[in-house]
Amino acid sequence: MHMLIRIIVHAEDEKQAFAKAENALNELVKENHFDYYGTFDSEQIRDSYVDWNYLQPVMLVSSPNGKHFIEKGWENTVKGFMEAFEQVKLAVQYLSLEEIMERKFPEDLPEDIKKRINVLSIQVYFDELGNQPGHPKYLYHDYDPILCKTELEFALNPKEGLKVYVVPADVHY
Amino acid sequence: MSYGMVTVIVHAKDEEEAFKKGKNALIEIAEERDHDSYITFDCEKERLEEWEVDPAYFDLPPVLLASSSRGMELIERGWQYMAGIFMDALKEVKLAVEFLTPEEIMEEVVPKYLPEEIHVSLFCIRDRFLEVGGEGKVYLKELYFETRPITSRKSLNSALTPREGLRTYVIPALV
Repeated sequence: MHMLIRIIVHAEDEKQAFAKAENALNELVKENHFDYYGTFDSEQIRDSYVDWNYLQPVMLVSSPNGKHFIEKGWENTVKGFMEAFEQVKLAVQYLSLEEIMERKFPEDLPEDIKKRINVLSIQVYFDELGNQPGHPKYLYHDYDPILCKTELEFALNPKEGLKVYVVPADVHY
Repeated sequence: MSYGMVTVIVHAKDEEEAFKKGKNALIEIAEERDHDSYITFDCEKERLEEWEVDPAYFDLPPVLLASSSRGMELIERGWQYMAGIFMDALKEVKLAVEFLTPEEIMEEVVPKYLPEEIHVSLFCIRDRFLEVGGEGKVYLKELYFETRPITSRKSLNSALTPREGLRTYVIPALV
């Protein structure tokens, strides 16, 4: 599947920002968190995100487009976290530790609960609440996933005369 | 860098084929852990010492039948190791989901009013979620069926089910 992530970097200018983001993306792929990536300097990538036609290959986070793009990224991160949290909560509420390990429903589980728990993929939701890069982490500070509001604020805070940029990237996972 | 003991289960016609299959799997397992190399038990004793292998394992043969007593011992050791880490992490995750709000888990902030024992065990909780999910925690795995880590009793039973005309072997190694 594809997702649109944001790489936040601190740099002197756009060129340096893009190079730093590319390094981070290469690292994320090398470490197998994503299969491959594409950036918005490619026409093909821009065409596949028609609803995001305001995106530039590099944007200042303080620009209206940069700000909006970061806000959407944070909304998606929280949404993904909450979906995974609901699955994990249901699992620990209704399944035994062994059943979670074996990804198996107890025989007496009511049908309506069965429909709500995605038991075969349950371990994926535990991973999604963890601190690794990958889905549903939509925001990155260099190659570190931004896991919470405090980390996002830290990433957006300018340091040592550098500007803060955001580089959008399409990733496959 | 620290090395860990791993046991690879394979199905093969004979010991020679099993060892070859095991070594192929070990190349991938080592790569996944970002290690350049691994050792199997056909190497010199000095090499085992260099890799800080427990002396109790110095006389392990490089290939064993899974049904032999030492083969079963290795499988049991790997299973207990994985299941122990998984269950410990899952117990802490259960506490986190019961006692913390989603926002507190997200920020890894444990409220001070919680009893001390719960407060302490929920430290760095997002790391514990990964130990349950297993993604990226390759160093926690000790038992493999070829290149795939064994993460449930079902996958262990399936790995140990005999294949037609083949025997089930284990290859111990350090990665």
